[in-house]
Amino acid sequence: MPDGQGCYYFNHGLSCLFEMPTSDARRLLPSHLEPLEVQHECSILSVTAFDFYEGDGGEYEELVLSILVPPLVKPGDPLPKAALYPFIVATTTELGRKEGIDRWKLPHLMRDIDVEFTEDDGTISVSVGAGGEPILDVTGTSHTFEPTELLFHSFMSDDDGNFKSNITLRGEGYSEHEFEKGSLKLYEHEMTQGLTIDEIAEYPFREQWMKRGVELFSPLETV
Amino acid sequence: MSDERRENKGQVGMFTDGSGKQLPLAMQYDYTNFYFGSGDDAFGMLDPFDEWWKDSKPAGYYLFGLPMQGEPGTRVDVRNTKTDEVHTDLLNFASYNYLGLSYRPEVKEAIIEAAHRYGNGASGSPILSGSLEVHHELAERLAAFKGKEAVLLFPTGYSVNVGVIAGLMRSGDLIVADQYAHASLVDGMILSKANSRFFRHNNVDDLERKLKRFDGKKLVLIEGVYSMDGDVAVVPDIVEVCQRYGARILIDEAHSTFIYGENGRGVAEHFGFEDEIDMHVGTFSKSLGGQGGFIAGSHKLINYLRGFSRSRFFSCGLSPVVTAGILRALELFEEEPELRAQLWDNVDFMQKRLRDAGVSVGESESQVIPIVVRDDAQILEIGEALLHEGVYLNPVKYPAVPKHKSRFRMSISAAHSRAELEQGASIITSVLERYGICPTARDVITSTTG
Repeated sequence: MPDGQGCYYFNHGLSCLFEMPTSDARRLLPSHLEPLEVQHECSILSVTAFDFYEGDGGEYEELVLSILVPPLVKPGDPLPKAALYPFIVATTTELGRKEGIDRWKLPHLMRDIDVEFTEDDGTISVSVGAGGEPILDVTGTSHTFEPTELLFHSFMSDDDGNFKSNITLRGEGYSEHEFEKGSLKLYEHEMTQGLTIDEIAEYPFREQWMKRGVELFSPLETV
Repeated sequence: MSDERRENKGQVGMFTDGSGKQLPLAMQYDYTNFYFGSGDDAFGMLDPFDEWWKDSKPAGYYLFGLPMQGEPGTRVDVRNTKTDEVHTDLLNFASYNYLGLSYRPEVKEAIIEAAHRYGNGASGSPILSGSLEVHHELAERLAAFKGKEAVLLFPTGYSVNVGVIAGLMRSGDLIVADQYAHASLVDGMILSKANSRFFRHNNVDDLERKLKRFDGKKLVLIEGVYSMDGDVAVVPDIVEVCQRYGARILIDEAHSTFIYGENGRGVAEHFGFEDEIDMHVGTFSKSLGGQGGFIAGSHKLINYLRGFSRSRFFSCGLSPVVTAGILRALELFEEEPELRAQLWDNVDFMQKRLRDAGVSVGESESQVIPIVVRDDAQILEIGEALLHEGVYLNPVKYPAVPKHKSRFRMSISAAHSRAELEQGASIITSVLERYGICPTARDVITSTTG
């Protein structure tokens, strides 16, 4: 494995994309990033959950809320599938949280969350809460699973500057579709602050589900 | 992690379409990949796009915009820009021309006569010198046909929606559009600078959710028949919600004027809600086989828009030659109600024929019939096969439609003979069968969409 690369193995990675007001997206993004719009004034909220069973952060579950942004592609570089700015991340363990903060400069909820994955007949549901308070329930559905490798750009910002990491997701099974069959229920919580819940779509326009995969972070580069 | 699992990870390949199929190089990207680019040069994306296009055009993208060699009749000759061969006598299911009026001899005669009288263009903005007698005549005839006080003509259908919406709505107002609203409606929203929201297609509960949060001027945008799916707006439910929240309604009847309703005035007439809808948009390029568009409404509305619709204000007036052709086509439409009857007969035949063969045509109930292939990578290949088998159809793929919802958009015309419809359906189903899409498509679609 190349020096500085992060490596996290998971059983399930679910990412659903929801329409959200661009006004919210702009408030959540740092000034150097623009939201990607799926439609006029309609940006994209990505709700992603992983259950990591092995890797640099050990065994833990993770919830990532991101805004989709345009990728940063240099001449000759491969085009990523998408680029995103995670505005809040939460994990079920302190080790997982420390990994995300120290290595990848990702903003975190500073306490453990509870995450429950339920897979049933082509559907995967993820319920997330903290200390008995619900944060969100997200459900995704499957299309056809095939081995796939995908490249993403992830942007991070902190007091030290603005950064980017190339994230590669490689899985034995990957399903993606736009059949609008999943769902999202957001609750008022510290993690959902900044989101106008009433204005966020209750169904995903895209559902992405990867099974038995690995998430690889390239070392941060300053942008 | 087991060794077996580690080994499997090494077999994973780049670039599948999400259903696992290994994509050809040209299909690894699409237009969405070339929208944003880094760097400081405004031309920064031209080279990468050009490089992709050189691969993509011969791989199937050449199917878009093939030069037709004559009038858009039911059988056409089309030049293949990949091979330069001319495909002759193709069954044409790609052109609008729903009533077959575009090339009628009476229309051509009217055009020739107008050319002798007026020359080619209007030679001015309609608010200055570009308003000719033939324009006034068409506007008056259309207002009478639509049962409205007045009509305003625009040079294109696109410019109607852009001009009307931006002419009427302002920053701080709210516009809510169906998620499948045409780009012209969306661009009107953008230009108006009003707050913009989209409601889930034909879902009045979601529309209500968007309207109830807002105090102030509200406008709701819908289409009569949706151009990619051929389904119809749930007008009564939408009107009820809009009235409850004080929202004005614009209905774009580009694909339904001259087709729906007892008198052909559109979907609003079909449902009996013509008076409840504030603005009625139509085009001349679909059923009448011409070009341009119009809005029908009250005198006060039209008078205001005449002064504030910049897309009309700053465009040259509709060509008088085209206008004369439209006028004659309108007369033929009124004189020959059997045209509409024939169209509906043809629509019923083709819808049943395709459905019986197991072809997915979605929720279409109109002359716009989506032939849903779903496979985003295969759609262009199938389009090529259809061309070689003798059928001209337009492929529509992601990002114009959602992923895995690629389709051919079929347009049925009153001019199609029963034999042409049967031959077309036979070719289409046999090609789809060859690609494993029909008749098994029905089962696949049931399992994925419920």
